[in-house]
Amino acid sequence: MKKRREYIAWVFLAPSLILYLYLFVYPAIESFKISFYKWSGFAINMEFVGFKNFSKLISDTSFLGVLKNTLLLLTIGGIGIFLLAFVLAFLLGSGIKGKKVYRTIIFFPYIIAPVVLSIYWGLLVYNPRVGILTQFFKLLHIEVLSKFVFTDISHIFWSVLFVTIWSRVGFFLILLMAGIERIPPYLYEAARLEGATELQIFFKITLPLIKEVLVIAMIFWGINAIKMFELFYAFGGILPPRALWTNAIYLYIIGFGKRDPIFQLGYASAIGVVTLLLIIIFALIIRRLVKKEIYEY
Amino acid sequence: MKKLFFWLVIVALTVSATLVVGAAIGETKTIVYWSMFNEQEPAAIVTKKWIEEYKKIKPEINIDVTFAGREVMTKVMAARNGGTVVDLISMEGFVLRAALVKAGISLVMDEALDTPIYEGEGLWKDSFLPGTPEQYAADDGKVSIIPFNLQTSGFFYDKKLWRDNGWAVPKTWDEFLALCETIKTTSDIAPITHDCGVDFYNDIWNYQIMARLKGPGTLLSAVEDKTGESWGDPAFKKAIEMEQELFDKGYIVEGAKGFTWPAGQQLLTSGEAAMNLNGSWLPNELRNQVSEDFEWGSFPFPEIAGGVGKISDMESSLNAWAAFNDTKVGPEIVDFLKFCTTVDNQQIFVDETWNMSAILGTGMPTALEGLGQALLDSKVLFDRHDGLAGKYPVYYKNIYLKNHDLAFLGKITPDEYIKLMKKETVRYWEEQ
Repeated sequence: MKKRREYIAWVFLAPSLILYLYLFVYPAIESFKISFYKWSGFAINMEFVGFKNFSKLISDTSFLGVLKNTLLLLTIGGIGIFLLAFVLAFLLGSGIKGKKVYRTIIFFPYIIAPVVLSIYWGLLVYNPRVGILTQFFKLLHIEVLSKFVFTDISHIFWSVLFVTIWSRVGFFLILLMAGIERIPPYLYEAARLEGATELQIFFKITLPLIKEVLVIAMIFWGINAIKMFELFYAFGGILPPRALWTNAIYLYIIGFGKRDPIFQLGYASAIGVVTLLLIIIFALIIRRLVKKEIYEY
Repeated sequence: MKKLFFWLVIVALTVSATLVVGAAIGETKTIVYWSMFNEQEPAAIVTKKWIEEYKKIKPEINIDVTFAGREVMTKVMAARNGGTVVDLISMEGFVLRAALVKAGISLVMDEALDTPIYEGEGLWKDSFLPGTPEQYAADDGKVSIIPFNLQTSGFFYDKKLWRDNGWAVPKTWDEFLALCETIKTTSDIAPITHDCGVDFYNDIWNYQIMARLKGPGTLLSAVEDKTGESWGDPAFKKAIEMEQELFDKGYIVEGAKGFTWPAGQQLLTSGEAAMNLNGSWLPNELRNQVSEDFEWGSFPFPEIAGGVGKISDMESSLNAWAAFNDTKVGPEIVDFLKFCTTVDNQQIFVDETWNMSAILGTGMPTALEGLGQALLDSKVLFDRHDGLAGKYPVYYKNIYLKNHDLAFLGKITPDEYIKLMKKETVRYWEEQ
């Protein structure tokens, strides 16, 4: 009977398993293989170069630059998103009226296509001449800010990072709120009776009890941040400025050129492998954190 | 059983009859063509017209066209590696050369170019502007790339606006600076607008200035000097100083350093800026955004006093076709391309797309008259980005454009730029 059930389970699993193996595992193995070759993607012959593509990455200042961007996105972006999500979750959980409306409004940017976001922010909000921000600061007669060029190459990364946080926070807010709402209210009541401050309640009750949800959310953010592409790519219009390049964008430019005939698919695959490794390392670190202690209630 | 046998015989007879009839009326052959244009672009509409007309003449040849846009190479690469047949593609010539010709997978067209044109007298090769089919030839001189669209870069402006203000087209850099000063001080219009967010637009300034100061090919020679010492030529530093001067004197519109494309070029259409240095595709790109009384004008990059380059030295690049050498429809591709490159069909391209054709005898689009005529009259031609992008794409992208952007946008001094270029050129060649 048990064997028969196992057999049926495999039958049902098979279609998705086949698709997963064909669409994810096979290409991943294939690109791992290609990372050991020098190949344009067009030529028939591939030249085996061993670990040369990986060693080249170490001295590639462009790659180190994009790695820095990716790590900044992962850390600063992550801190921004989770900090804001917690503050918003706290405010929405404080018995405020119209909670669902606010939650929907905050979530809304998440469903807007990155290309639309890039046009809206790039051309309408950050535009140094007629942008909403420039006009707003002009109205307030704050000259320093009205003349501040948000999309100058020195600032554009931070400007787009802000858009990333603004557009993603809603999603993580929903995740965190789902975790917070599962915490039994009597725990809060007991803490308040004992004279705990709101800050103590947050650190001693809320945070430990949503650890599992938080870890899932953080892994989710990590995966998204490390392979971030669309918004940063679309932000420059016909070409993303170098200051916005992430691992994924650099991989695309090196592998496929983006109008310049670079076509180094082997090297691009090495960047892909490193990116995958980064995701695995990040996920492992976060997973280890969760293993330490799990609270049950 | 008898019934099954009966039906099997019927099916076999039907299949045989179809094959016999098919052979008798001639087999339909399909050219799978992936175009660099997007379906809504005028050039794509022209392409569809050509295909429609060609089908009427040659119904036995089917053209299966995909409008893949400017990232056609990426899509073709993925498609072919996935087993999809692609016979013919269109793209910028230097990209086709780097991807197909260098990899030895392009269909050589020399023999075809020596055959007669589609209709009328003369050889196909003689129907092109001299030198254009050879511009992106292989190192051994073999030609695979068939040009159709001639491009250049220069300044674009609204003739009416200039006429109303009494501004004249400058021929020298001094005249150019004087004009910028006049525009700045006598009007509320910015002299120059520029999309600084696009690195390959920023470098137009640099390679044009270098071509005027030291002549075409200087930039490429500096890249090829493995010691990096060529970057010590004072002209490279001077070029950066001249670029930075445009910002320092307020000639380039305020805020341009933060423009994300197309914020800059839109100021030309709105009349807030007097001119824009760009490629010859600009009038077509902005044709639906300018007002009805906007009169397109264009002029070449001015001559620089003391420089060896002349105002008549012109940038010339090509949009072109190339076929893969594993195609099974080589003769059909040649025939189709001959059809597309007739004077009549190319004139449709010129009229509809406001672009120049690489075919002799076609007219000049009104919007490009100043620049286009200068190109046709030119005795010295040089490739876009001084040939750097096609020959050393990684250097171009990761060293030259990176450092030039920093210098152009004033993040580093001209001296720091030269130092970086020297250092990174040496490192680049050590890693090769």
